[in-house]
Amino acid sequence: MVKIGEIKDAFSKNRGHGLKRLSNELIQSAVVDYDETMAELAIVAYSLNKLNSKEHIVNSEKWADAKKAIIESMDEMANAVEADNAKKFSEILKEISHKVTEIDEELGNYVQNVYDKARVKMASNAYSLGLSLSQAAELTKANKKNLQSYIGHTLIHDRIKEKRSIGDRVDKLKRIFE
Amino acid sequence: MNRVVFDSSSIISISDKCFMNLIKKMASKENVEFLIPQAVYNETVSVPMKIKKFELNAIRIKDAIDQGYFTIAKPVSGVVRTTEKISALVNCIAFSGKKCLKLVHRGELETLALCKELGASALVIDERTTRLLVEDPEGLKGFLQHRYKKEVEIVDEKIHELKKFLDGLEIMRSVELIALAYDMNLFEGEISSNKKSLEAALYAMKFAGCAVSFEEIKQFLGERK
Repeated sequence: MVKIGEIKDAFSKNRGHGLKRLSNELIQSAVVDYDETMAELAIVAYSLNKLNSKEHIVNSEKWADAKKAIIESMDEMANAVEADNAKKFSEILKEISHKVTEIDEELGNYVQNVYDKARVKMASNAYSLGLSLSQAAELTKANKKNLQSYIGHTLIHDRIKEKRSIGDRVDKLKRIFE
Repeated sequence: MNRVVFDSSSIISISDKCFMNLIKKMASKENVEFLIPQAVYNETVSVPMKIKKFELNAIRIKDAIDQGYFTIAKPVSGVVRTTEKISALVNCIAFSGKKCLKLVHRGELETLALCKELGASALVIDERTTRLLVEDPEGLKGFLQHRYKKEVEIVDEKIHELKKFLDGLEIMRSVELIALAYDMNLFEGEISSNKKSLEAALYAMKFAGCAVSFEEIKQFLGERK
């Protein structure tokens, strides 16, 4: 998977736009293939970008070691792909997500951590690509209620012209209640 | 008896914005029965009851069920077979390149199957994809083609068959229930019953995740005196 090298490169060089672009590309591929591993990789890329963008995290003493450990894990992931070892790949991916969550728990300021927010964001992308709400939530392991609330604050539902109006439906509903 | 089935998305929107009392009043009408599938109960009550952040909402929904305003649909023979039939139609209804897009979750398919088996008058669902597949697959096709910036194939025969299979099922959203509750003067005792409150309530449902656009709400309010 070429993307791992690109993610590592973008992360190590603090290229926020690169990580964001990669997460969007990965989630689109994940939707088309309905691939949970690819979705997880998209979430990792997105959350690494978020961590990189938080001053209080990157300025922390622990960040340099944590970043180094994540980059090393990405090298191991690339080796696993070359060796066609899907199991090892998934294990390392889980390790990276744990590292991200650990850093966020130690250094973060919010109840909902960066990783969970990344899940919701990627799930929202998947929904905007046509997956149903439950399907998007399942692909990304995002909490469905958080996802629904998040989507409600985007313009996703304003991009499609509805065939039936609220008025039409209310008239039909009235007949059910008569 | 008119059966109205609720998906988890609509129940979540309604309870999140504290409109369960309006729905309870509507459920009290004699000729209407509000139903939820067991899976929806699990998703909106059993699981979130154990999570502090979502507990209150789960309690609101549970209360409505315990008080008899919603009924958990009993297992219906034929739902499994019908779910498989709908699944076969829906989950390879769209292709990107040669890849079949798995657009809809099994839970949502089971809800459609339940509606079919019960002869439900309406399904209340706030999420968009399932609704469009039933009501406006051409609209969904156009959306997918725009979103993927390339050809997305939709299998027309499957659309035709799905439409025929689910013919007669009306799809509603939480916004329509709230709008109807207003028309039935059920806002009385809950919030002030005027156009401003109606406007606020409709936008609240949108922000809770109901798949309705600003334009739709504006048009609807514009039609109202």
